[in-house]
Amino acid sequence: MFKGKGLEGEEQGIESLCRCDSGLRKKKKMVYGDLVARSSTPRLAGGSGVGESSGSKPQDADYSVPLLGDELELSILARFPQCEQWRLSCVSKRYLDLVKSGELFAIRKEIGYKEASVFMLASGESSWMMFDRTFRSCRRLPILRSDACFLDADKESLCAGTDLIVTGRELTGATIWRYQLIGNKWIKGPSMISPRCLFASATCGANAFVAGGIALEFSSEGAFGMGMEYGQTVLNSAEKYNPESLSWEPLPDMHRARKKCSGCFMDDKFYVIGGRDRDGNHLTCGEIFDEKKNSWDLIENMLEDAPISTSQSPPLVAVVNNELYSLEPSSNQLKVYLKDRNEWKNLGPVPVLSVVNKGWGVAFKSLGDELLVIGSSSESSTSNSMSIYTCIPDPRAEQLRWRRLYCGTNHLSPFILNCCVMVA
Amino acid sequence: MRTFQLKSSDNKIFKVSEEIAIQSAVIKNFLEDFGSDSDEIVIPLPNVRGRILEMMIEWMVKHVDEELTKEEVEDWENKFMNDLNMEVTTELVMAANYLEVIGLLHRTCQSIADHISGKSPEEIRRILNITSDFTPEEEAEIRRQNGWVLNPSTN
Repeated sequence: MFKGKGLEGEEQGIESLCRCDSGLRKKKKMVYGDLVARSSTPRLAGGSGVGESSGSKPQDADYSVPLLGDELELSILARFPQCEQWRLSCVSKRYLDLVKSGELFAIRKEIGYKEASVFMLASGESSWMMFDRTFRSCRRLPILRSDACFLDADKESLCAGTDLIVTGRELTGATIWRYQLIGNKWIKGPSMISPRCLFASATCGANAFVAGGIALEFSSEGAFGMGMEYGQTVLNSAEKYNPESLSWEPLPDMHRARKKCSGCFMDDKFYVIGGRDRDGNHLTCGEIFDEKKNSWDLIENMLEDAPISTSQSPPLVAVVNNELYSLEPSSNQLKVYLKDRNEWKNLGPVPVLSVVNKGWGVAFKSLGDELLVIGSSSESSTSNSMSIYTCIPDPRAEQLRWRRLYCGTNHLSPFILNCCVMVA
Repeated sequence: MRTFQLKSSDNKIFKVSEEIAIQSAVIKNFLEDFGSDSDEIVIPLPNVRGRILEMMIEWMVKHVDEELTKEEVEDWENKFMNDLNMEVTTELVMAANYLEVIGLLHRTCQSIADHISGKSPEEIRRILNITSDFTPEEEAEIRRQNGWVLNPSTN
């Protein structure tokens, strides 16, 4: 389709060459430096931590990388895995500023680049771990300086933008701690309008949604924890976390109060699935919150009506490419939800033992276009270390091909207390 | 289908069809501005040498080939990128940026990012030709603050 013709044709081209050349220069300013400066927008010129930008003096800017301009260098660095960014901060002062200022995230946003990272707290660990999506590199987050009560008590986690939100309770009451990826530090708050536990949650970009759960409220009985008690109030309220205002905003109430329910985001809607009502009855219905309509729709019989142990975990659900998958602890089977038929289709066994602890301690998440499951392997006899599997799910398949990943940190307990995936 | 000639900095001439060439936003704009009167247009690209231009065109040809599936193009692209050394990749980044071939620009930037990820700060400095301006104390402090586990496989 194309041919290199060497020098041939140079003569005949001269006229048009000159015309083209001047035309290009006039119209498109086809000087290398200009193009570099123009192709990325002025954002980089004034941004903090960039140092002198090449924007105003493209030809003779003092590039720290030979040949590559600042703009290109930044657009390469923005693609560097988040969980390894500490390496960049050790390279030079300028790189340290780039990492600390959040400049690289701003560029990621601009070029539409996103990366999934996994945050996890394994049983017996004092600090959270962060993994890249291939689990080849991991990082220990700074220690969360909370009280003993928070460390021991049940926690739940969700992501919003570049924040990891961990909910739990301290001696003084219900608490939220937020790990900010930009800045690499833990910050307390903001509290939910109705602090809760065992709720459903889902993330959509920078926003996080929570619904239902058990109210963490002050009890005059004061049975334990300075009067803080898991009350018996099961909630039907829902909230949305707004990272810009750093606050929780109320959403309309769900149709049903429910605890131990699970949440996910699918087709731009917040799904809340299953759980138990005030009397502890298993709920097979789900609810969908549509932000555009600002209301909830109830879906009856979304879950199969199988007898479920009262000590079973909330449903293990994950969404990949707008298809809802569920890991059933009782059978250790993966299922996919057929939206139009309100039915579930079996996709074969999952290579992690979820049945032993009734679904607790197993992480079942979506990771880009893959499903991720972490726990004790059902395949090997050495199941007392953490095993990680992923697969690219296909709703039409009979059985899926799970791939085991090795993260190297095989000393981690296979019982996962908290796990969530950040896409930023 | 119209064809054009692209001329590299070392005066190599490549004939390309419009369909292929307009993956470059710069060439596309240029052709729009110059109308359709001539098939003999030679577009001089004084910042791209022949070998790099040839690779760019190869990439662009693959990306308009309707006989290839998305997966086949991806497989081809992965192999194409893996076969390049950092120097050539860097040149391609600049050429793709210059001609605004966005897909190729993203892919080549990713390739360099992948290449430096997993490397120690010292290696990153060497590859990107950066001199540390930290004092040894400052560097030790930053490493301490970032007291994160290293990639276990590199320990």
